[in-house]
Amino acid sequence: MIKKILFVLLIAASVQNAQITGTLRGQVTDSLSGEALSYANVFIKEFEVGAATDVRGFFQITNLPVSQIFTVKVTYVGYETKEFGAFIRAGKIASLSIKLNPLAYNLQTIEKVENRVPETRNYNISFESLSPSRLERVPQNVEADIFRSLKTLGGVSSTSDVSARFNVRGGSSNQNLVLLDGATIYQPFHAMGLFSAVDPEIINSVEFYKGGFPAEYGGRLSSVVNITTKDGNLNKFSGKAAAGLLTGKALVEGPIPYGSFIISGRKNLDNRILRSFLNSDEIPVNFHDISFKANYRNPDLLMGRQFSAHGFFSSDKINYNDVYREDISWKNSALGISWYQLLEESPLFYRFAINSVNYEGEVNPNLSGKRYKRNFLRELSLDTEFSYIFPYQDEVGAGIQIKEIENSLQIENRKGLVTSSTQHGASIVFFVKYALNRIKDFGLEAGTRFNVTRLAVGTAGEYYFEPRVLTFYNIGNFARIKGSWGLHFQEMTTLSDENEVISVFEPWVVVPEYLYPAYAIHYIAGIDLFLTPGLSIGAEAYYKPMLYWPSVNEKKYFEQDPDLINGQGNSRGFELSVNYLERTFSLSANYSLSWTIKSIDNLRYYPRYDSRHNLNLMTSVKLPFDIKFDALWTFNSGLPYTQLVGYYNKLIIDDLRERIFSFIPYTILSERNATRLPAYHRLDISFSRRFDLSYLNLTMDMSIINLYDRANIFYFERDSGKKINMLPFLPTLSMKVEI
Amino acid sequence: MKKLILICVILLSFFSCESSFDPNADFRQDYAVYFILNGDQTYQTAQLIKSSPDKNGVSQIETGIPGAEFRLIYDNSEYILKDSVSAENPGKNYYTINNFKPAPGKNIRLNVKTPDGKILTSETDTPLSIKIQFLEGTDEYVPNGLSRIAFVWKVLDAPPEGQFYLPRLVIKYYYTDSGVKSYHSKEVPVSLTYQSGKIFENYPTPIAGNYLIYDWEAFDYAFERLTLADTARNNYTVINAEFELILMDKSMTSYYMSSKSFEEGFSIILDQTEFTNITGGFGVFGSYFSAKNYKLRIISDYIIARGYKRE
Repeated sequence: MIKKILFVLLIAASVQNAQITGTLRGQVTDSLSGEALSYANVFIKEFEVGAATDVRGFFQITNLPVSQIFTVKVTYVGYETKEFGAFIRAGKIASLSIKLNPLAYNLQTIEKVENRVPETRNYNISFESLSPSRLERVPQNVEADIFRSLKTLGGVSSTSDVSARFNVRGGSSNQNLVLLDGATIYQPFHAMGLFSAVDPEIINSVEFYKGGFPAEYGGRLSSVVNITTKDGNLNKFSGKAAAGLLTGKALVEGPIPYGSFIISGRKNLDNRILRSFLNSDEIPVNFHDISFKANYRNPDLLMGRQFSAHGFFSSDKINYNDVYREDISWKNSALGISWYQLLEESPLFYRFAINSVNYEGEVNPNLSGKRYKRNFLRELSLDTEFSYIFPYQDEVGAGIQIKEIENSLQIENRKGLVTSSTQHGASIVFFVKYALNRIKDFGLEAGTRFNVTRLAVGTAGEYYFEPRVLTFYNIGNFARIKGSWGLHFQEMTTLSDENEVISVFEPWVVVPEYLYPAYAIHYIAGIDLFLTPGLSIGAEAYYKPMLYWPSVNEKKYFEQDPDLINGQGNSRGFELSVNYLERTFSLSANYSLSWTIKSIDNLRYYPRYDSRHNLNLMTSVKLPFDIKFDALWTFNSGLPYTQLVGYYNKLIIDDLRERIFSFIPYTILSERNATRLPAYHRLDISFSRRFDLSYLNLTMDMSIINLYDRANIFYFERDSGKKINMLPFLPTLSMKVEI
Repeated sequence: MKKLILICVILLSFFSCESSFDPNADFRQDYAVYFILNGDQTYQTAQLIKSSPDKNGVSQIETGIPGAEFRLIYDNSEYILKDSVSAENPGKNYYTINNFKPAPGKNIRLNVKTPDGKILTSETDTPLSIKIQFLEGTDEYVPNGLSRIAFVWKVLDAPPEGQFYLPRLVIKYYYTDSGVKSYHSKEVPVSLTYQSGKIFENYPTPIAGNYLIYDWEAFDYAFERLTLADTARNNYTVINAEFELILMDKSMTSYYMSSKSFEEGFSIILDQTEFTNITGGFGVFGSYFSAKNYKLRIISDYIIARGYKRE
């Protein structure tokens, strides 16, 4: 009822105010495929106002003078700039469908620098949008990978180059929310965390929030990775097939009546390359993933509306066919529908989505002496949100997110005690936000999430708010200062052992009732400088205290001991990014300086991913003969390490009744993570070239990982003292065929 | 700029290096004390171990360190352990005490002064009670026609919480050779696992609960294998089966559990966690009692059908 009243009031307000000014809105798409272009720039020259498209390619600019022709300029990376005249009648909303032509491959520039326009309304702080072309610019480790690409950004770190798991601004890896078309993906990795389970071929856009995320996002302390998949080619059937040293994959897309579809599948073909990743002779990994999406937008039946259905399935198995070794498996599935609507005569966007997500992981010990573990998680979520832009440009957004989670876990900890639990909870969250845009060059967005129920309890009784504020101020066209403050709660966590180098089995659980949900407070301030059309500099500083940080109880010896205990910590840091772009050349440098401290059970230490200095230098160059050259040099100062101070004989009780004991040598460790490993650095390069052969487009890619064969230390075997290094010099080759 | 970048890349390609890093810190001399009190007897032994900077060195020093002082404080009295060399293993050094039999529910403190003057301390609370009664629901004989054998018990004079048991079920029998009997027992696994055409036996670990269920097929499997390769089964006389409970104190149980650590295949544990209740060092100071044995009758027909004799 409240929603209906609000809706009517908004409609009335829009009709009343629309007499004075008008609104321009529309969608920007690829002219060949009809694919939405997210974060394209739409700029009105005469009034010097603009907007960026959202992940669905939509934009909206309000408060425009009526009854006069103005010039709309639309730009997007790798596409021809489009300019045209537009006209708005008093009290009307002008809707545009803008199709951009992709540049021919041999003419394609890194970025059309001259077309870059400043966005007048931009609350984005600690935010990056990654398009497919941006992902391709990062030299890849065997497979193009979204999460590995994120690691090139300031504030993103990891404990090794072997794993695709990542840490954002001092948060643990389970503090990152990964959304695929709105559905939470709990284990978005293949092959023990070496690669992302989401095939980059199906990605349309990636929104990445390193902090200060707006009120519509919740449930994690540190970051949000919002992946939107492609809709499929609206105009013609097409297909792609690619094979590399690890996987083979295929993609088919095409039009259906009033819509389009896309299906992609990927499977590992040969695991020999993985031996370099894990220093092992045998990696019996078997994985695949399948994604699909179909959408329907009949203008006669569904004016201004779009309906889509999507699915994602991934499966991993590690099977040695050896009774003395354990088998490990995990799988994700996500199915969802979404409904997106623009009201015809009102600047109102509305979205409704239902997603069903399943995650299941299992360790079958066979006769290895390991313990059986199984984790099952089922999530059913219903999201609805709307946003309304007032004629004076202020914007209001609100929504309800209802989530039901069933979670079961059977696990034995390292001490041999079994934890077996099933949880069934529901969370209901309201969010609302209001953006004050009416003041020129200044913006203030304030919002909050209101958690009506708590997952662990499943009913009302514990309410908490997550207020958030974002602000910016434009200093002319060359600088923007910005700031953010917000509270972020997290009710799910993994039972991961942070001492493990590679954690294969990371069961997800609801933070139990006996612990308060973890929360973090984000304090962020920054400045963006636009020095020349091709040169921009961004700097941000942050401070993030994390309270009630759930951690595995390493001193659980008895059944009644809690599995999780509360820790706390904080991270603070400074990030600097410099981007230089011209027609055939780009260079970006991302530097971060950070400190992270964690405290559990009166023990204060640096987590294993705490790296003081991180620097990523990335360049992309168009060479003669249409060869594209990409290079990435990464430097991380040393990660924390716990040294060994000696050995002693540990008594093993073989038979207590007969008092038969034996001794085994046992290591004595120094203060936890008190020293640092040597610095990590590595250079990756890649050359790629596309060949157009009649109906076929071939893309060859040759990459070299660790060009100068830097011996970066991965870990030391405690038993032997043997040093295990990360990835060595490793050339790889891949080929993609498009029809 | 482009040329500059390319030059940098080429230069870096010639720059290969390896940093030296020592995973070991400066050696620190540490000690471990192992003192496990047996509540069923009056003679107790302890051992003092010292650490070594290298792994191979550890195996050389498992014999125990002489020259330390071991003091027990029990019921407001102090007891000093004797520094002695094992008669059976002349190279091994122990600390021993006679006429010391701890009672249930008692606090015992330990002070150790190492030869180089370092002080190690600990304390433990012995199990609360050894008065245990088996309850209805416990099987009296086997085979019982069911697929399981159940044992249920309760503590008579102490709260049930805080008791930790190490259970064991054994089949007792003797072998007769030329009129001479030799007594034996065979432990029964709690369950069996079948995989790849092989059968694997699972034995119980310490529990805090008050019941334990054995699979009948596990019992049958063990019973069938009393004789191993000996086909002359009539030389084997089956007495009965006996379910034994050992009560361990909390420190003892924690140590027992922590020493059963395991690692997951690809999960490479960098840092280890362990239990010790020795302040200033490593090891354990704990106690246990043999609490109660329960005799389980084995039906004669079943014994005879398997070719054994019954007592």
